[in-house]
Amino acid sequence: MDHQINLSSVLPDDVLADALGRLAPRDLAVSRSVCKAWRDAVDGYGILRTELLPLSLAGFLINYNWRSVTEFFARPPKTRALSAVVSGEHHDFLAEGDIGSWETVLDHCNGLLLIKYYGEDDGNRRTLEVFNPATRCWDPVPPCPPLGDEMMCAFTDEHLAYDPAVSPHHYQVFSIPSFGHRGKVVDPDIEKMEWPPATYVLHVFSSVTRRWEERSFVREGGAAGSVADMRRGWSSERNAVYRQGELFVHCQTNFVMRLSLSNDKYHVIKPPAAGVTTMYLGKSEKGIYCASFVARCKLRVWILNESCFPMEWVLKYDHDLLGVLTKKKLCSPYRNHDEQQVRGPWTFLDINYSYSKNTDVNPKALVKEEFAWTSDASDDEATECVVDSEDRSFYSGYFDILGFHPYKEIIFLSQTISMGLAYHLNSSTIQDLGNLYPKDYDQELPNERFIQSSFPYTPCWIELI
Amino acid sequence: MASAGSGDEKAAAAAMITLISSDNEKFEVTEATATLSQTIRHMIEDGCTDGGVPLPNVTSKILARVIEYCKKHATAAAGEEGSSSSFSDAAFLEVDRAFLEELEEFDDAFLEVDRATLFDLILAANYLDIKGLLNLTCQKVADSVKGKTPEQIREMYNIVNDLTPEEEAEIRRETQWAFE
Repeated sequence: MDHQINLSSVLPDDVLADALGRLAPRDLAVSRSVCKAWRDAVDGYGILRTELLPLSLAGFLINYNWRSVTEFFARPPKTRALSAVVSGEHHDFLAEGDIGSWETVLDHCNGLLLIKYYGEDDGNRRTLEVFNPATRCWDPVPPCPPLGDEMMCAFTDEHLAYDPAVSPHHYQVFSIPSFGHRGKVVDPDIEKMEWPPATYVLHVFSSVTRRWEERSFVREGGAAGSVADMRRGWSSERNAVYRQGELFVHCQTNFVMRLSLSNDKYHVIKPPAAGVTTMYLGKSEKGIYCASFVARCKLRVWILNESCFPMEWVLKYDHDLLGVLTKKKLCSPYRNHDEQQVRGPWTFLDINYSYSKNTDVNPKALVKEEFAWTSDASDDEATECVVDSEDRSFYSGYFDILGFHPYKEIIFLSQTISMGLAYHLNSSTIQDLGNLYPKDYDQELPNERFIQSSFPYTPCWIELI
Repeated sequence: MASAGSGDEKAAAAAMITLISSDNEKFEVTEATATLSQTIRHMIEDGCTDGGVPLPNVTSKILARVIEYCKKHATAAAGEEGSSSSFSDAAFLEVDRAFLEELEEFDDAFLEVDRATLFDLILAANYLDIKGLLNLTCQKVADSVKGKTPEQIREMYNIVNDLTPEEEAEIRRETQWAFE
């Protein structure tokens, strides 16, 4: 090859832009840092449209027990397009008069929602759909093939893998088995079986082939336990995170399975600490995170160290939130629910209530002020507030983790399903975001009012095609 | 004039066109092959192909490759026209499929060239306005860049990094999400 010529300078701008315009957003962004000519071709022809990518957090999708439609706790919209998304349009395709149906967001990944829909009319037939609320594009997913062996007493959880910056027009759905309480008839061979198996065969749906196919993942490192262990490890909220070709799945007994989609291998990541009962898996500024509450108010956050083998969780934050809450006078979460609609910078859409009353969801009228992250902590706020044991025993609230901010070290919490909170891990500061208690939720029994699952929502305006 | 014109066109359908490369080599091609190039098609329509078409931007080495591509795809285009007008019998579809596969294989083999040649082919396809060839070669460049780091791309294409450290830092800041 001739090393004298700079080949890129040979091509005219428009031809270079034609060639580069075929790349996915991530490769285009990389191309910009090759040389001036490439940067100018990408910028001059406007072929990298960053504004379409899911790079901003619009709010949280929350599933409440006994509520048939997933709710949306929305960050104040900054643009018209975003307000369209948060005004509950992801429920638009629910036909009118279909109030008896259930429509739950099972998973969210980079702007795509995986929705499970139970229609009353069609005999509680369960259907899966992938929906992009920003582009209003939806795509039916055929039913996942059954697991086969009934002795397993297992069911499946579906998770989305989608990265529009790498493959804008391709998503995959992974079906991951989990084990229920075993039936009366026990097969000891199954119960003793190592789990997950050395070669883990999963059903995977590809939007390109439009088929569910079996895909084998080979384990590197040890297993998590036995099938019998799995049955004991029950926890309600278990989600998955997709990041750079790897799907992290929170599994029973709080181990995390890291599936590498490029080489079909997987790792088991042991729970972050002994005795962690509930744990939330997410991604944020520095990679993969997990968080858990101990002793009601103590928040622990771990970051996954992926460079060691076996990979392990490293404790990054261990904060007592009661002091922060006391300081900000935020520790009495009980409120008069009827009067909450106007307070708080974030908006709770109350989609279920609107549907039951057949009224429009109109969040715009509720949003008055511009919302900004108050991440700059003053010295005063950063100092720990002393909480005596009397205060601690008096405190009757509890926390649910809604999720992580995908790009900043902020964790979002629900205090006693009443108050949405943003807790800035770096500065130990907390913000009250407003009410997230569904209207009429008092009609349910107290022990049946709880948050089942929640996901951060980052809108994506790239057409799935 | 009109009737005379259509008679001329019929005669021209079988006519040969002479293409002259920058190093003065002459290539005789059928009009069907030559008109895959929009540039040459316009020249034929304007009646300025007598005495050959000089292509001062294309060397004989590259022109030979371009003609090879056009010949193959001109036959493909003729074949497609023929089959679409006839009944779409399963046997015909089978033939079509086999032909398309063969064409794909041809394209793949055609692209097995060094990078300097690839860039010359892109320039020729751009100058001659041959959509299919431009598509094919641009896609090849895009595929070669896919998943690479800036350093790998520079090495592959002998590109000198003329961005200042400040500019590089700014690019990274603007698209932090791509460099995680």
